[in-house]
Amino acid sequence: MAGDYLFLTPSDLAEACRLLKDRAGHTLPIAGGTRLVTEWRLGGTPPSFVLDLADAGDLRYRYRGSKRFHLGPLIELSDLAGWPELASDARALSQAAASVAPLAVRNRATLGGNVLQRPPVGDTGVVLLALDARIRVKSTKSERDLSLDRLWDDAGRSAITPDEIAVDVAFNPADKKTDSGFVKIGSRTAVRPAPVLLAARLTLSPSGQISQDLRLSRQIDGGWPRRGLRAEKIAAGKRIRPDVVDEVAEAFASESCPERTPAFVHRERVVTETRALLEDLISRIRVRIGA
Amino acid sequence: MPKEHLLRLRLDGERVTSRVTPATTLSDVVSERSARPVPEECDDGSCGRCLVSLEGNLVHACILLALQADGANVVTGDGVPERGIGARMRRVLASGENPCGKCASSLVLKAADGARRRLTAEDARALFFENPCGCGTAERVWPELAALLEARRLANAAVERVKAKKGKKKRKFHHGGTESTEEAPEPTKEEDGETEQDGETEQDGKTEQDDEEESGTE
Repeated sequence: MAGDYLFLTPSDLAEACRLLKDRAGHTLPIAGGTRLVTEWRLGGTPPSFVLDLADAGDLRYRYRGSKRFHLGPLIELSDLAGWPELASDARALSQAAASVAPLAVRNRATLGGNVLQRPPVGDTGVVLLALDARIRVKSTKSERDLSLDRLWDDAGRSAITPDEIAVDVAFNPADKKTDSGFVKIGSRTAVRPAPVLLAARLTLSPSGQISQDLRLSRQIDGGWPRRGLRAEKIAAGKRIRPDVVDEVAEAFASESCPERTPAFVHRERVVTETRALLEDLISRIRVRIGA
Repeated sequence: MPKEHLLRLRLDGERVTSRVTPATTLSDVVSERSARPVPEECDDGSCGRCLVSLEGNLVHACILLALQADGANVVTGDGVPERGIGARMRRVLASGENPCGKCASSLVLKAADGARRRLTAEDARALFFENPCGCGTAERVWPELAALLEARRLANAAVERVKAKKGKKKRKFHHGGTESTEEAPEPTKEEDGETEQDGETEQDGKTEQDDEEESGTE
C-alpha cells in the first residue's frame, strides 16, 4: 500500500484552511477516513497530503435551531441514525444514515465525508438534495453558503473549490404537513455504490388533499445526485389522486432512467418504489393532520 | 521513504508507543502489540473480523489509519473487562467449539457493545449478525447472548422501578398551598407493578453499575 504522503493534523480551522490553500489540488481532507485505505488497497492513487480534520475546530455537532437543523460535517452517521429528533422531523436523513454499511463503519463515517467525497457520493447526498439543504463552506479568504442544488454540475464537478472546507449543513425540519422518505435498492460495498437511491420530501395542503411542494431526487449507478424536476412539476398544486401519483412516478422514472442508457434497467423498480414512497408519505401526513 | 510518526495509544489497558508511517493501519499496530493478531480477510471492513473498540465505539481496525487512533483507548475482545456480558460471552466462546475462531473477538465486542447501549433483542441480533459468520459460531452462541441481554434488561427494569419508588417516597406533598414533607404512602405491589420475581431478578441479574463497568471498553 502506498504510504509516501504527508499526514497533516491541523489544530484549528484557520490552520486547516491555510494548509488546504497552500497545497490545493494535492491534498485530501479526511474526517472518518473510512474509504481512504480501501481505495489504496484497490490500487487508487494516494494524494501527496492527507489532511485529518478530526481536531480542526468544532465540526462535530448537531442541533436543532429555531428554524433549521444544523449538522457539523464531522458528525458520525451512527450519531445521526440514533437521534430521535432527526428520525421524527427529517426521517429520510435518519433512514439514509442508518442504511450505510455496518455499525462499525457508521461509527467512523461522517456526514461531510459521505456527501463531499469523490464519486460515488454516499447515501446521504441524495437525501440532503431532497431536503433542500445548504452547505456552508469556508476558505482562508471567505465563507459562503451553497445550495445542494448547485453543488454538483452535470459533468460531476463540485462547486466547492479545493481550498474550501465544509463547516455546516443546514435544512428545514418537517412540519405537520411535510414528511420525507428514502429508499435504497440493492446494497453498497466499500467501493461499489448501491444501484438506486431515491429520496422525496412532500408537503400537502392543510386539508391533506393538494400537493403544495414535492422534491424528488435520485442517484443511479453511482452517478451524481439529481432532482426529478419534470416529475416535481407534474405534482405541483395538483389534487393527490392515485393517477397523479402514477404519473409522477412514471415521469420520475423516465427522467432518471432514460431509454438507451444503462440506467434503463432500473426503470420499473424506480416506478414501483417511487409510487410506494409517495403513497407512504401521503398516508403519514394525512394521519398526522387528521385528514 | 515515508515519514515516521510516534504513535501513542492505550491497547487493552496497556500504554503502547509505536513508530508508524502514515499508511500503517490500526490493525497493523494491534496485531503487532496484542496477544493475538487481528484477523483480516476482506481488506475493506466488510468481514468485520478486525473489529476493535475505539474510545467505546466499534470500528474496523483494518480500514483505519493508526494515526487516526493517536491518543485513543483501543480495546480488543481479549481486553473487555472481566465483569460484564462481554466477558461472559468470551467464556461461552472459549467453552465451545469454534470451527475457525476468527470471529470470536468481534462477537465478544459486539456483545459488550449491545449490553452497554442496552439494545433491544432485535437490535442486538441485527448487530451480532451484521457481518457474515461462515463457520456457524455466531449462530451457536447467539441464544446464550440473547438470554444474557434479556436478564440484563429485566434487572435494569427492576432497578428503575426501585429508583422510581424511592423517588416517590421522598417526594414532598402540597396540601392546599402548604408544604409537607410527609412521606408518600407505600404503594402496593399491584400499584407499582412489581412482582416477587422481579425482586429476585434484581438481586441475581446485573445492574446499571455493571453497565458502567461494561463501558470500560470505552
